Amino acid sequence: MHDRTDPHPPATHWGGGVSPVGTGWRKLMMWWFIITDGLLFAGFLAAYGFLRLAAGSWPERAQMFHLEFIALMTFTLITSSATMATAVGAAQLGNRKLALRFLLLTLLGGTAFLLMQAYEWSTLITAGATLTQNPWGPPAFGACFFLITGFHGTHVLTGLIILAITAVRTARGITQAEGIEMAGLYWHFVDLVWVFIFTLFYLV
Amino acid sequence: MKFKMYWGTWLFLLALTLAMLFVGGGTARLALLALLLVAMMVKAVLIGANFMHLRSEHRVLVWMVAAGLLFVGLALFAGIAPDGIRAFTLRG
Repeated sequence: MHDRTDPHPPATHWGGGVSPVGTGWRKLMMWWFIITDGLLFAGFLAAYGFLRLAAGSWPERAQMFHLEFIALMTFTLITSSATMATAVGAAQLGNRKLALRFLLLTLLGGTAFLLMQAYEWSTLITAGATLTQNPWGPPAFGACFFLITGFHGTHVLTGLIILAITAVRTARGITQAEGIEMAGLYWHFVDLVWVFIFTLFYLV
Repeated sequence: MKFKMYWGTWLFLLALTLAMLFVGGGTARLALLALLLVAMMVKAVLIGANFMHLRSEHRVLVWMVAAGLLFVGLALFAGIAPDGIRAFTLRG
């Protein structure tokens, strides 16, 4: 039932080819995952914003966090994102050795970040903060902080597993440039989410 | 050339993070909040465009990501914010 007045005849419509958005299905699926996962984080952060406003008062960040330490965590994650981008670039140029070297550096950065987060958690837990308690004021802080940073930390851990597998497969010559790019997209997403967590939890 | 862009972005992100940390202790709350949120969005766009290569992707993919994440994300916040502010005002 094609309308004769349609300015775009069916031949110009997308007919179900392999590349509707100018990219392969693997990258497209990764982007869809990133969008849906990003919206999950957006939901968490929106809920945090609501709870924080509804709580009336909120603990002073200087009481709970050592900003220099958080800055170091952020520096580590941003640097690991740059090393990951370099690994992807090297893989696209066909330089497997350089790609592997930067993949390992990314793995190192991610591990350091996760260890620092574990230290920060243990400091807060030792001070009495839990999912339902907060020694500095509204209990909602503990729930929001541990849920959101914990969810992010789980993503970092997953990213490290993906990076380790990618590094081994790259060393063996199994993973090609596209595989490293997929791992890179996920890792940059983890960094991207931290940009929001860092600003909304530690600075605002 | 490509590596230069990555490390240039890294340097800019780092500088922006340090600037955010520096102004984060200020007292002008509303202006400060707006400044930090703008800096946060600039950092997010830089990571998306340069590290995730969105700047060199097909325009349809870029719009798909922008519509999916940015617009829906903002709509979510816009939907929740009035109730949050109302609850804050009621407490105050």
